[in-house]
Amino acid sequence: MNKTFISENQQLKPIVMKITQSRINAYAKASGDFNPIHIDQEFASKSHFGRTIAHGMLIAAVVSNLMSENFSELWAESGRLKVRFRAPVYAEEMVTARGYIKKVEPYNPGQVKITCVIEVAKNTIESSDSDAELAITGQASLVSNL
Amino acid sequence: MNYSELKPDQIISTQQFSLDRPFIDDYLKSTSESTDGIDTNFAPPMSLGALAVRAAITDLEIPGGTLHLTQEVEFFGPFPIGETISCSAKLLQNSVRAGMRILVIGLLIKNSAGLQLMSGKSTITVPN
Repeated sequence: MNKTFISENQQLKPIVMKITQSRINAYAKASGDFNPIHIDQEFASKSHFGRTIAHGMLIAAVVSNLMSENFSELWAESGRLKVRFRAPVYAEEMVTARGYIKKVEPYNPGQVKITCVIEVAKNTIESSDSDAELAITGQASLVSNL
Repeated sequence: MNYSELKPDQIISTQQFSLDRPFIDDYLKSTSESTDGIDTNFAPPMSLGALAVRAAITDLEIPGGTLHLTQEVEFFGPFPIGETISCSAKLLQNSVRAGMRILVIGLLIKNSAGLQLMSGKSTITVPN
């Protein structure tokens, strides 16, 4: 994102991703989290979810992707994220990570703190669909030089 | 593991990982996390979160049916690939609400020089 254009209420460029079972399995391998609710169809079918669900941290990674795409290296250098997992994301569901800049405020001399409202919506192709079920809601912030 | 015996401030995990290319490749297969604008010699930020949680869930012997309720992370990057990192997890809260055991876990990642790379906090429920 060009710093010249950072302003309050500005929408972030959304990220859309299909959470396939193969992504979930790959995340289990990378993260070492082999909880059967994520990777075992039989176990998951007997749970109250009825089928496998994605790791929360995999969906949080989509939010991190949203912030990296919009703010490049500033996210890795100074990012803060606070999310609540509100609904499970089932294998083969589409998710859209989206958000907007809520506040831009002075931080240290020569710096601003940018605070964004973020969410991950399920099964919507419209980044502005306000009726979509939300898998994640939260807030992300980072610091940028002027 | 008897989770009711865990006490606040108890260190529940300390593990070392190599932030190596095979791990990053596996991680990116699942998340496609962007490295746009980031040198390809650096790891995507949330890959550290994955390792921090990995350390905690492994050492806590988290059972099937455990659910993740909230997550906080703070990054102090960049994160060079090849770095050896140490992950520690400390129990912050242990409570039972509506029949569900809720654990709040503090996470910290440092590099080999002792510099903090990430901190965080996970709230999970484990079957009681």
